[in-house]
Amino acid sequence: MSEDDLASAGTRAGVPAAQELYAGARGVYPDAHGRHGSHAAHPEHRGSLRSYLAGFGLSVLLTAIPFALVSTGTLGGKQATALAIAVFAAAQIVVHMVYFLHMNARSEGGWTMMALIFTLILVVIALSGSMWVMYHLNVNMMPEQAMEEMADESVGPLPGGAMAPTSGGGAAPTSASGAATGPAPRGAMGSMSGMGSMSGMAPMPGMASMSGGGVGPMR
Amino acid sequence: MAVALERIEFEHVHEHIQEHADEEGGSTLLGFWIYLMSDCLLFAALFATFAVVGGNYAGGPSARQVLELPTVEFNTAMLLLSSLTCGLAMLEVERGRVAAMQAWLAVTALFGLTFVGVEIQEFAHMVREGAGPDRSAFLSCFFTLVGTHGLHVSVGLIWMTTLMAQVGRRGLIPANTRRLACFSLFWHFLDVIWIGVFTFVYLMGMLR
Repeated sequence: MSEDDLASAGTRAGVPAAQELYAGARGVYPDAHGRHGSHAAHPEHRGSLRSYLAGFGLSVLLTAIPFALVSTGTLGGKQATALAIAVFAAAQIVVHMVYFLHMNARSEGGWTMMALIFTLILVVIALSGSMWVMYHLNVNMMPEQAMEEMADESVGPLPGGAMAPTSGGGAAPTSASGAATGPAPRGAMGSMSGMGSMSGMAPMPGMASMSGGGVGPMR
Repeated sequence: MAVALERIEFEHVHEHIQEHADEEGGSTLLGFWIYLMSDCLLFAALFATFAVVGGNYAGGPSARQVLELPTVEFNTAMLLLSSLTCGLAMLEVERGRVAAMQAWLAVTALFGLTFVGVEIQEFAHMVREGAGPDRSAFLSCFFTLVGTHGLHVSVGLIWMTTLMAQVGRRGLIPANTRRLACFSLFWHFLDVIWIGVFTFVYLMGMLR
């Protein structure tokens, strides 16, 4: 019918590419129809007993292991345990997404996946941004007492007095006193360890690298 | 030639109209999914708050002192089981078996009710021991985060009850099937949030 008409029209007009083009288009059409068909057949829920049971089994496993890790302390280090249970949580969230929420890249023309990815980006920004900003705020806004102790310690070995508690606040000490500041951060951190906020940040997995890189204003 | 093109166009338009006619309520699930994503952002804000001030005990009890792992283990099991039974209810929806669906939904509600009950008991116990939401920043954000999740579960329970009544009255009509699909998304989503809660609040609280 119309296909032949159009194809012959293409050759009659002396455009050899037209036939090829149309053949390509014809190749696309059944695909589009097929997609519509399946969409209409399963407009909503997909899933089977097997997938639900598989998801449940995996979830039980991925829940039991972190609980066991924490209550037995098998991994020894707190950082290692925290990292491990975070990984298990992420894995379990993926399991739930796939087996219970039936996430895939095709449902609703890919828009559910789009919304999910966008949300994940926002969640990551909100979480890591808050933690990063507030962590550095905590470290740089030292309490008065800790500031003074820090200043005292660092003034001693440095006769130049470069470390005098000037108006610069917590951000002041810079490279000029690099050698002398060695012991200072430990002293400062020691006096701060009573602060809940510091100990509170410790087990968050993302923080491990930050605290390892030298905490606070002394860099 | 012209006729053929016209026919193509006609078929195309016809298909277009039909597609729209088919989609009575077809965008509801996507809309509901976007609501869930916004809910996810709400929880992200609460999780971020907890990550920032969750260690500020203000001289009060620490997470390890007030939180009990056996309780949260039990509640995690309740919510996970309810997710499974909710899924089983949805399978019965696909088969069109109303009675079995209602039964699975009732079991789901029972698990959900147990979860909320245990959580309320846990909260009451903490408040009695002087570890209420006004004690420290940690407890404020703990009660806000866990309480918001508990509130969602409670709303889910009310929703479930109304759905059971609606299906009881009018059966598995398309509108009800759609509502049930939305509900199951909501319920499974709450379980996903709970994974974050038990991992980052309870388990990591034990490590602090």
